[in-house]
Amino acid sequence: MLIQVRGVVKTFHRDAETVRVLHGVDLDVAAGEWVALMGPSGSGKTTLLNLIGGLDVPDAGSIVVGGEELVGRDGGELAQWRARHVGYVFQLYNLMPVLTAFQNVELPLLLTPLSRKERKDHVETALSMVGLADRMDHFPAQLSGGQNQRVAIARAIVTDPSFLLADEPTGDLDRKSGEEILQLLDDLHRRFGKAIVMVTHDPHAAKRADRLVHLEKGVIVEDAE
Amino acid sequence: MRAPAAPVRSAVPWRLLFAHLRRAPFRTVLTLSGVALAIFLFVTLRSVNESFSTAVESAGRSRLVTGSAVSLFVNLPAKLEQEIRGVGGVRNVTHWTWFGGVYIDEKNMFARFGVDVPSMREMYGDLSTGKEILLGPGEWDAFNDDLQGCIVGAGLARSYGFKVGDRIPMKGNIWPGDYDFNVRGIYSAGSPQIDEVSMFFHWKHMDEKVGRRSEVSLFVVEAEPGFDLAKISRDIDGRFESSGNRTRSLTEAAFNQQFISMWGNVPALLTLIAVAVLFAAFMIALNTMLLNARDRRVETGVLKALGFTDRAIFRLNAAEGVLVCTAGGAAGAFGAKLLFDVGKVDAIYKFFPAFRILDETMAMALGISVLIGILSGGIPASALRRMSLMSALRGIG
Repeated sequence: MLIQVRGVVKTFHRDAETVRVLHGVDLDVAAGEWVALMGPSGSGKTTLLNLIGGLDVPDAGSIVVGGEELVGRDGGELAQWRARHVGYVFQLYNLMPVLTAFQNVELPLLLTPLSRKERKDHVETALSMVGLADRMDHFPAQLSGGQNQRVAIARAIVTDPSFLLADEPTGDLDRKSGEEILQLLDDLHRRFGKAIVMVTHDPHAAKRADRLVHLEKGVIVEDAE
Repeated sequence: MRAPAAPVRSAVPWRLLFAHLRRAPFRTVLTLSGVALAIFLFVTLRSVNESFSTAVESAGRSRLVTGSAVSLFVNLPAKLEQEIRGVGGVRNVTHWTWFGGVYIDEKNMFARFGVDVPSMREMYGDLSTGKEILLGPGEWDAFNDDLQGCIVGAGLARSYGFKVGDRIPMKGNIWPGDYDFNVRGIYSAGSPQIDEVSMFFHWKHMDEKVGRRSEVSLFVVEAEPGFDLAKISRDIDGRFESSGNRTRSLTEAAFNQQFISMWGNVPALLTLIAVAVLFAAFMIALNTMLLNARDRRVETGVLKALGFTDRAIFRLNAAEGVLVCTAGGAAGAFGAKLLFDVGKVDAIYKFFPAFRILDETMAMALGISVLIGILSGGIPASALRRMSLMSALRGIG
């Protein structure tokens, strides 16, 4: 099993208010599996995604990824772990506006010991895979939403991570661009066997996944193939 | 795709630093200019303050200045020179007399002194050991031989376009009459004690013009090596104690200090202004860096999500402050150096003849720039470093 989540609890504090978002969630994701997390707003799906990706830490429970326990690691260790294992695709792309597509994709590679030439090869390959080899020198502002999300996916895959996390990757795109992004993720999943955990509100997008996990009020209420 | 090999290293995405600076060039240039202006003012004000102490420190160690005990503005009879020469330990005596006068227009203010050229040459010129007044070959002789001759400082020559051979008309007021001086040399200073914005001519000429008044403003007394200046000073003043021309002899350093004390609290005020200006520059830089940090919260979250460490985030953002402030500081400091030391802006030398930008001042200015950069970059960088990844991604930190 690639990802094992056991009894995860997460609580947020806003002023005097305490909101428990996850109530002891258990979840397994196999290597090469594509899981879609669905549920209404506030159900805890993005929080669960962030915990799996080591972006946040649970209050209780265990998260084991690739045999490595994430809970109890400090910020620096988690940062290094993320750099090695996680490719993250955000809803709003979150590209650096001051960098070109090439430079954005190259960012995670700066954390590796690769030479400049090797980095260039990797970036060109990643951008070719998302169909943007001819847009390498464009800045995010010069690209469409769909193209920006492709750059973000290229950035997520350029280090060949263990798995991809996608938080509503089509949420900010029109139907056609969204479909292209889903097709791209599908290709990555099928051709390279990438495990994907994707948060989505879109049932059409969820259909692409191997498995659908439905959360409500911080608990998994449905887990179906 | 081939997987990049582990291990992961803690890198700083430096290209983002330059990309950010290019992204908001106006903001960058304004901040840099603010720091540059502050450092320029700091260097200038500190150098003015330094010029006060330089005047004291560079004073001749073996010289006394003897003037009237009544006031600096009361002249003494020239004949006292012979008596002063007779005091034990006195090696040489020369005299300087304030001429005043008007050159074309009263606005043309610069110091003009009538001097005894042969003894001045021995004490300051090519016949002295110190060589504090430097003239070209033959110019001392030309000056000495021409009773209407004069020499002018290099700064003065630049300001008024004087050249050797020019005639300088002068209307006397304290020493009435119409004068025409021949420029026989352009001198430069061989020591900080001498300024380059004065004019010297023969006292004998102005004395003859007014019908041999035979008065001088000051005597400069050079002591024999090894003799006690304090004793010579007491002996000179003691000699004229009961006369109608009581004198007051001071070491050259004490005499210069007298002038500086006329400035009162100005040096302290200048220091205060310099500190205030630097603080203002720090606030400007800090404000800009805080704005930058606020704009980059989400970006910081993304960098953290990608695996960049908190330390790398800190270094990236702090470096921006250091880079901008150091560049601004260097521009201000070297700008001042260029303007005053190379460009020789005479306006400042007119008022502060010993004005020099010391290496120590430059080093201090650059050090302060770096410090402003560290603080103004470090404070917001520290906030971004401490911000949790999730807060940063949501842009709410």
